[in-house]
Amino acid sequence: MKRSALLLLLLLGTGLAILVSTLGESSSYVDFETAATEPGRSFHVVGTLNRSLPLVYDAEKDANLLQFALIDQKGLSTTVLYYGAKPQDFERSEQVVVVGAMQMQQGKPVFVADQILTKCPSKYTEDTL
Amino acid sequence: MIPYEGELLWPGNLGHGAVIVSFCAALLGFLAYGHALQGHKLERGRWETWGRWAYGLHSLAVFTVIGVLFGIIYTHRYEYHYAWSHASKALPVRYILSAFWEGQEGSFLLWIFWHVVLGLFFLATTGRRWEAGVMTVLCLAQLMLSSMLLGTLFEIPFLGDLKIGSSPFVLLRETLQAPLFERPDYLQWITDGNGLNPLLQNPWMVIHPPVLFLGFAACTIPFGYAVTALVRRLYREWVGPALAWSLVAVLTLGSGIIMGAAWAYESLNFGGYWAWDPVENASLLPWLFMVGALHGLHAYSKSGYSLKSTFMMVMLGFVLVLYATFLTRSGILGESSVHSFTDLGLSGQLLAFLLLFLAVMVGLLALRWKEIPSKEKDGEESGTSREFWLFVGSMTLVVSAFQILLTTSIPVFNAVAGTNMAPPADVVSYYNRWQLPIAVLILLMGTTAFRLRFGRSEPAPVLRWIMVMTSIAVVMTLLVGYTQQIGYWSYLLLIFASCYALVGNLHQLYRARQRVSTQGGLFAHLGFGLMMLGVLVSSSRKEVVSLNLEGTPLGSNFSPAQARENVLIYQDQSKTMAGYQVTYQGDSIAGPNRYYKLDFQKKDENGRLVYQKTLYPNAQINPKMGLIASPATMHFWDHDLYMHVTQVPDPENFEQKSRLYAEPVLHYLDARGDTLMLKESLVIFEGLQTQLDDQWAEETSGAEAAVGAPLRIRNLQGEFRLMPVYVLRGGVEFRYPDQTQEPGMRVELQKIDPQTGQVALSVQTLQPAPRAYVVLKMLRFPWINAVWYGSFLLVGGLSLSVMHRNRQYSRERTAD
Repeated sequence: MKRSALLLLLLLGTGLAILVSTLGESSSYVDFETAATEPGRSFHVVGTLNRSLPLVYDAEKDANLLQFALIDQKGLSTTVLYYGAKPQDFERSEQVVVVGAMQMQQGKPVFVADQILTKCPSKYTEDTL
Repeated sequence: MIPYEGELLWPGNLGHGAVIVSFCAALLGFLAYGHALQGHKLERGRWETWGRWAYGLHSLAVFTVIGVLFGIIYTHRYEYHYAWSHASKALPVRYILSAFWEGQEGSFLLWIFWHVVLGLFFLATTGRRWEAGVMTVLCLAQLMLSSMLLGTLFEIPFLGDLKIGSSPFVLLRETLQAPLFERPDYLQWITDGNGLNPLLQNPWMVIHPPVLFLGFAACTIPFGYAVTALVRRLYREWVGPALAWSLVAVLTLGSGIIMGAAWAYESLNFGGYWAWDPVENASLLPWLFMVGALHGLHAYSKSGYSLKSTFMMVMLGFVLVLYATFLTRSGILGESSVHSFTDLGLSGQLLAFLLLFLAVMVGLLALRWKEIPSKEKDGEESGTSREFWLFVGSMTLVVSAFQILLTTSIPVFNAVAGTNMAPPADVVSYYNRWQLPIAVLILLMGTTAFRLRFGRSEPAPVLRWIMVMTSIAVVMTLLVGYTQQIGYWSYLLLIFASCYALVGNLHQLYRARQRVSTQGGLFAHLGFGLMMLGVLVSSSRKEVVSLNLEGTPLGSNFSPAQARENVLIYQDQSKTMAGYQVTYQGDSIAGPNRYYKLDFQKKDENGRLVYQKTLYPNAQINPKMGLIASPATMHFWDHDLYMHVTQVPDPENFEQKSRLYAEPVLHYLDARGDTLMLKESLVIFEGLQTQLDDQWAEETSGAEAAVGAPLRIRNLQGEFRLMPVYVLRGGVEFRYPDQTQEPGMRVELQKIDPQTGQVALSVQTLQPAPRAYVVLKMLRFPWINAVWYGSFLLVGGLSLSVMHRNRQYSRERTAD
């Protein structure tokens, strides 16, 4: 009986550790303002493409530089830099999640994304004739 | 009412009617079998007969639904929304099947279909002792599943309308609002369907969903056995058949998951076979529980140990199938997954399905908890017994599943608690950090447990065996670590555990060589060891070989994690990657795909060609989804080179873009003659010519001044002559520029300055034609084959076990 009690304790302990670590390590969906309060820390920002500003990607100049402006859910538009190829279907995405951190570049705050997730709810289930 | 023309309505009515019949028959079956399960012994037979008839009717109705829906898609009846939104005329016949289960309704049907098949198989082969319980559960599951297809609106007083299910037989004009539907002949204007998502137009997508859903369906039967065992107190007897069915579930679900991984690796471009995506996790969770259940059942059948936890794992396996269904189909994953289904408004029903079976599980276990036999005769379980380590192993699997469950459920937590949590920023390494030590434990325990006996083992020989295996594994680890340059101790630990599993299980197989056909477990564990070795080496030594060292500098405050991983190659030019000279040789079109021809050459020191291969990574430039790239892979025995295009010039812009002149540039030349060096040509100015020939008569008549600038232009294409002319007439300047198409130059005589003796020529060069290029990303996966061979062994071992158990179980039955 002793051993199984020990095992149970170990199991519960590990479970608790997992719980704590999941809560501790989880990132959060924030807006750019919050992300700017802690430059360098990684956040998820959900937003939509700011179509009034140009989207810069010229594969022939630099295949690994994408620059665009994203409007977060509070309506604030911020420049986002991504050092990679432009994701497929980027322009028509309805919603963009950028994962990365705020940084100062030449005195201006930019959001440097490590990951870009695009969400196209209408993807192939577009119900228009 | 508009008298619509050309619609074929009877199939839809038949299909919808069949859905209702299947729903009612499942209800009838559930009630009849439920009575048989609970009722008096004498009444059982009669209720079971009723149940069988109901199930037969249900099966017939389900086959009708499937046949009708398939027919609608196959014959392109676009008056039906399902056919219109999932198929198109250009779709090859083999992908009609993929179109069938692309939508939620179709994939529910697939699941229902497997339940029917398994149910009929069960009825045909299994004794009547289990019929009532298993079939009650199966009918209840079918009841819930077929309700998803009802698509019926119920008016409930005070609560408003309640929509149950989503019918696959709704008409296009009932779903969409468009002025077109006011025309009686609207159908002849709908010439083609929306088409199948190109990502799903892949052989793996024909085979992978049916196998996965067979796995889901197979998890229902062990749940049924557990229910029967609890209701009828058959605590000992259920283990044999439940073990056989759990093996089937583990085998089919596992194969489905591996096929999904192969699909991701072969035809998606996320650069790997596993990404810890919530949808992947959702199918892994029930698998982990079923594997745990398998080990629990095995331990219990041999030792009478750990029955309670086994009941829980068996039942949670199926409950997690329902949880996975809820996660992927309710739309709750939202931002955190890229490939979940869109919400069809079924979340309430899905949740009810999940909670119902959870309640059945909790209720029955609570009811019988005290009576479930638990073995405590020795007071202390022997640490040298196999059953103890089987139990610890299955608990470790539960821990593994718990960690995946918790992180995958963050969106659910957000929905319940109204929080705004996001998965860890680097979610893959977060999962790996937890799962790596778990894998180490499982490998070590799983291997050693085979060396132990049930009951109690003599410690000394076991310890000796462990020592020998450990020493061999340490040597192997050092070899692997050295050759693959792996320095992290945690990685080395997993390599060690994998090597230990390899030698340990091989040795056990050698010892059991006389009865290899019964050693499915050893083969499966061996395969798992090989697979983990492959996983560790291929992912930790995965290398981007298309690193771009050009481009604008990143600046000092960027980490190497943001390395530039894409390389541009112009047509007919080459770049060196991973020791290969890679030349882009142009693209070609086949069907909806554009193939980019890439030539790979490797030369030895003397410049002799030692390797040559042409690869065709392809992409669909889809009007609906943009660029969808599929990778191409070079397979070698010890590594793969994997590449896909990440960017190509938009073919449309590319073809239409007419060549433009660059901004004009002014050059001052000596009026008596001069030369001018331009970027790609040499311009020789022969001095101002004041006598113009007759062709200029009209322009120069009555002019105060008329001069020309004879130019000879030399470049790679040869020599060309130009003659821009300047005329001053009535105080007004007229300039007649001259141009050539082929070096692409336009010259204007802008000004003549008598004081300095200079002329000003305005030169415009034609911009170079847009050049075709591809942007590539290329990865090197070392030892990836170990993952696949390990998977084969795992699946093969499980198949062997299924056959072995089946033989054993039918022997037991004949002995009954």
